[in-house]
Amino acid sequence: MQPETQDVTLALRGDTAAFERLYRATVPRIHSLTRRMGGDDLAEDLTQEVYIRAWQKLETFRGDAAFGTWLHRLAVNLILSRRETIRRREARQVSGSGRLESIAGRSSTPGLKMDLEAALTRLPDGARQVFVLYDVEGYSHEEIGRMMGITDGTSKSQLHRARMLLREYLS
Amino acid sequence: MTVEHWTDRLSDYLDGSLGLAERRALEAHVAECDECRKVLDELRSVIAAAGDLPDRGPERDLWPRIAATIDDTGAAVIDLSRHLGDRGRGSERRRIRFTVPQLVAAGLALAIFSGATSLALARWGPHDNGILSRAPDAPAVLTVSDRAGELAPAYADELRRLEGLLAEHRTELAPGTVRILEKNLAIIDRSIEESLAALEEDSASEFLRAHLDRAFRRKVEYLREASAIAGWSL
Repeated sequence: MQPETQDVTLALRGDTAAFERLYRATVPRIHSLTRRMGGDDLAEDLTQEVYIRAWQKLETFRGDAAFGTWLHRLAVNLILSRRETIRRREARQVSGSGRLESIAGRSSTPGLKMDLEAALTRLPDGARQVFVLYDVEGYSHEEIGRMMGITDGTSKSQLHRARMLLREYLS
Repeated sequence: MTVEHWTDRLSDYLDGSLGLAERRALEAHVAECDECRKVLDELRSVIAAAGDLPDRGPERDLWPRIAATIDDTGAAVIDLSRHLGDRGRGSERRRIRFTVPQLVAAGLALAIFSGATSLALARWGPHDNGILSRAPDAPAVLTVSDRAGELAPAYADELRRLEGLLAEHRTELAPGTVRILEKNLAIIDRSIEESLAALEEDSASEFLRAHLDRAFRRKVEYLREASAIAGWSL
């Protein structure tokens, strides 16, 4: 039995120490997802909610995929269900030159990857979410369409839009 | 054709979703167009960087806050006490109504109201550690109440008590609340049935046994929660 399955078994019996081990093993990936898709301001709240939801729904984990995979899909669904909250929060963000200046400040840190993390925050939320799901997390357009309630064509056009904007921000 | 005609197709090209003829036409164009070639190279860099982004956890440890919200019995602590506020006001006794979002979130269920309570418990009985194991001569289709004596006592006895309590107070619940509770019970019972079916295939699996154990424990907790919300004492 894989170590994570042992911890899931223990957690099903109410062992919170086992669930904590699962949390510590998966939180870097989950928090990176909530941060990139939901924004810095909401990331901690979203991450907490993911794990509370996972604890509540643990009996739906059938063991036919890795626990991390199951948890990741749960996180994506949760984040997408909070899209309205994310959209309202972003509407209150500083826009225009203020945000470009803040990105310029962060881009003084060397490396395209650091710049890309900062540039992601500048994208419109729909384009950002498709980009994260496709290029960062590896979902197909078909899967993204099902999760977000959009067509494959819309997913592809949002992805292209995100890539072209990121190319501009980073060049 | 404009530059946009070609650059609009670059993502599809990079993702391998262009047809053969279109791909060849684009490649021929890019070979001769400096601007499109530049865009293509920059898009490749963006995609490569995206696939290689490192994961990073939160700056502060979120576990204490998560742990404070869950408890060792396996349930998330949910404050539903505000639903008790309507009871007993005025001379007319009002129906107790649980709001649908809280019911769905808490997963509350009433065993007594659902036909799905009948479980495929034919071949399962008490186990040494309180979890079900195969019992050789059990009858075909049994309800939780019928087989209470053969189930793990901690679950069986309490399930019977709670079912009796809720049956006694059934008419105090609004019809909409009853419907939601029946639906949630069906979900829980399906989970129990699936676990039992899975254990038929792999009776030695501790993971599946723990899964089933948790489903029964959750059922008891939900019934207890419903009784507590409505103020019905055991």
